[in-house]
Amino acid sequence: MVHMLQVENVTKNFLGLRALDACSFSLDQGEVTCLVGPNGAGKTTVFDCITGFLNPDAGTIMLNGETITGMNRRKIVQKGIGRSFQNLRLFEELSVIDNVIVCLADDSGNDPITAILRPFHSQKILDRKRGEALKILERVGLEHKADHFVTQISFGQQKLLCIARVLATQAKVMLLDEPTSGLSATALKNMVDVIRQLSAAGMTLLVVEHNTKIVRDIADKIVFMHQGRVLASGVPGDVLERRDLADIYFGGGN
Amino acid sequence: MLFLQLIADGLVNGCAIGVVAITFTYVYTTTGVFHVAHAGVFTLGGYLAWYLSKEGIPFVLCVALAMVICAAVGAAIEKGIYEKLLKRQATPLVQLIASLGLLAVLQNLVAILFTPNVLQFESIAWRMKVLHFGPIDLTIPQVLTVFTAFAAVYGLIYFSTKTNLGRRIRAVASNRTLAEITRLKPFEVYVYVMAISSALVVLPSVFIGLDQAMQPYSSVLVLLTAVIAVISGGLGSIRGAFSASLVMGIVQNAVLIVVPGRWSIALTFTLFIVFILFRPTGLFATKIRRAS
Amino acid sequence: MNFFLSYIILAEIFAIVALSTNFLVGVIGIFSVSQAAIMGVGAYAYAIAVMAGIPFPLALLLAITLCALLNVATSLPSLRLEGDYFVVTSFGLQIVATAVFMNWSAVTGGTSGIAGIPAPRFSGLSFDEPENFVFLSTFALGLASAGYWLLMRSSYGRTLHAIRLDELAAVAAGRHVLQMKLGISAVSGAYAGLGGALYAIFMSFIDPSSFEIHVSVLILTMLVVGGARTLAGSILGPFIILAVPQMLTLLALPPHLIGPLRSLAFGVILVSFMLWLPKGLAGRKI
Ligand SMILES: Nc1ncnc2c1ncn2[C@@H]1O[C@H](COP(=O)(O)OP(=O)(O)OP(=O)(O)O)[C@@H](O)[C@H]1O
Ligand SMILES: [Mg+2]
Repeated sequence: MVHMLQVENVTKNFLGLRALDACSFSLDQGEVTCLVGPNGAGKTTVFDCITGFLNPDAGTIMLNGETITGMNRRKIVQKGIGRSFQNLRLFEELSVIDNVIVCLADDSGNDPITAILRPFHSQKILDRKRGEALKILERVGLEHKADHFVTQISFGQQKLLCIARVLATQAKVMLLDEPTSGLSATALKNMVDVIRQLSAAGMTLLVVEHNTKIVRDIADKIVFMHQGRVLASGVPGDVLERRDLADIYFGGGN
Repeated sequence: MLFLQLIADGLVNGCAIGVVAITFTYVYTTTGVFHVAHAGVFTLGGYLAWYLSKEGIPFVLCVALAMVICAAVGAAIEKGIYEKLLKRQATPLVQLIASLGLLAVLQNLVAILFTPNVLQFESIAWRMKVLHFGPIDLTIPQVLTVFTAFAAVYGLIYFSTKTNLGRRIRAVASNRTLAEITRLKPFEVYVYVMAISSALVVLPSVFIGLDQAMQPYSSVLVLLTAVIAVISGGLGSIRGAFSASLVMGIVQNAVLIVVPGRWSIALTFTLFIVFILFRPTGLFATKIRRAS
Repeated sequence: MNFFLSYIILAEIFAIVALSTNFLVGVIGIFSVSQAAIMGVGAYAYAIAVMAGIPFPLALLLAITLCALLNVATSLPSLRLEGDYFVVTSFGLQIVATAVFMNWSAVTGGTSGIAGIPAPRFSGLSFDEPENFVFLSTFALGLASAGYWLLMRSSYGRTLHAIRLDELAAVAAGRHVLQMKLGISAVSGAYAGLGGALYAIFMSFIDPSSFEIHVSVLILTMLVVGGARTLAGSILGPFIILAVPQMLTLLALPPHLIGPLRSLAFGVILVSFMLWLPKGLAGRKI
């Protein structure tokens, strides 16, 4: 069976530090996989390697059986892998809806000729994109904030906006880096609902998550990382019961 | 033997460019500011020395005084402007525009206080004196350019590897955020770096001025050549920047055989563009990067 | 009267060039100190074309296209790379352009420049006189402003903002950052070319000194004073800055000091605005 996304023996070094050491795991269509591990385990580095922000030193990454290692970052997005960032990286001086518009897969109208010489056509494109972006904002429940600036919405809403931006790229595989960290109880519940809905709609998700309760809640599968290695992967019940992993996780290493 | 002479002249130019290059790199890698006003300090140093020598002060003292004044000016620029901008987390673009404004201030101050015209060190009699080295003729200022350049390079290398302050500067350069947390006091370090670089850059300014002539606005060209050398050499080491400058000086002079001098900057620049298209990381493979 | 009109016309021409700078400095946040060089290429290209008998609209189009291409060609290598390469290419372009204007005498007339550039005439109406020319320059500025406004509100304009704010996030969204930057670089070049051609027509004489690095600094000062990233800023800046030399002439200064004093003033203005008002009078954060 071909996995949606398959990471095989991916290794990445930073000047002598082995951030990833022959990592292997796979994601299946419509499943939520939680990437778990202590700080510095290499979770973000995995994201960077999958999305082409870093070139792995060894190993292959395949999307639906097609190798995407070494492909340029834009190409990978077009193939359907979208990501969010641990530190959000929203466009802070733009409005909520513009943050989404800018990320839409539809690249039409993004050139000066259309913008200046065909103003009416350009306006039509913009209106269409606005409509599309609004629909995406509805999926995460932010449509009422569309014309606010990023700085005017709450942290929880900013995190939802990150998801909306990834949705705008028409991703089939979503990589979310700590979407729930720092959220209030209500925002957290909201986020969990959004993730569940995405998964129900067929999205393949890889979510970095620190809270074991939430992991139990949303995960179909867990990948446990430590010091750049995948120590375990499988269904939550199995992985979360393992004492040795819990020790690593809560003991803060070694 | 014209060829040998061209190479020798090129080496001399390369030495002058080299001092500008290493001092620019020193500021850039430590403070992160793309200090284009360095060209203004260069101009100021040369004119100060010229003015003092005209007043009858012994030449060595003129150079020393010019270096001291420029060091003070450099420190003042850091304290009064760059530090304020860095503390306010101004973007690199803002820092750069401020530096450009400073360049205009320094150049035009020189033009107003001294003269906007081309001038020569008339009061220095030995500046035209030629020494013969086999087939090669060099003027005394040319010879001094080479000596002072090597002294500056090796002095700076010694300073940054063997002295406490030098090592502290390197520590700050390698990690600015960490330096702020620890007790390295980066802002104090920046002031030293600017003072040292501003003092050293007086040397090539004076000796180029002695050998050829001075003009308030020509230093931008010198700085540009130096920065091109820095990038081509790959940022990071003092030695690398200096070696690349030597190569640059020789190439610039060697092409004089085939193209007239007035086209040499256009040619250098075009070569540079082609070069970075194919080797964006420079000859020695470290990318030019802002200190972060 | 004529004096006042000339001031208006020059300010309008420089407003077009300030908009050109705004695209680079304000919109995508890259430094430029070679706008005068591009403007100069536009001016020379127009002058040479018109004097070779090419009709006005074609000559104008030629100047604009050439400048757009030149801006793209010179920014391509540095845009492909991160960091401060752009500073170097920008300075380099300015210095090389001046060297070419000075030394390619057969084409540019060297230091003596090109004189007697004819003004266009439309059905008997000649644009020789400021009274007529002011309509042309106002019309051109109107078009340029409309272009700026349309561009900034389009989805392209929004994407450019996003790229300035966080290039990495724009890449993660699948945007073709280099292509977008090159596009705006072409537009910027076209604007500078238009400004240059208008300048050549209005002055009817051009020489290398009109397009030196000091002029590039002047243009940057206009943008900084007016304020980056707004239409108002780019228009306000030139009107304010071009009034400075006039004020200097009111003080009885020795003539050989006027040039340096003016440049000194611009330097002081640049530093002061960066320290205390980086937004300019009517702009946004840079
Ligand atoms: N660009 C880099 N250069 C050098 N080292 C890096 C770089 N990026 C990450 N590292 C190192 O690689 C290791 C893995 O980092 P990574 O960010 O992937 O961890 P993480 O699991 O995402 O941790 P966290 O939970 O803190 O986000 C860490 O030791 C980190 O310091
Ligand atoms: Mg992480």
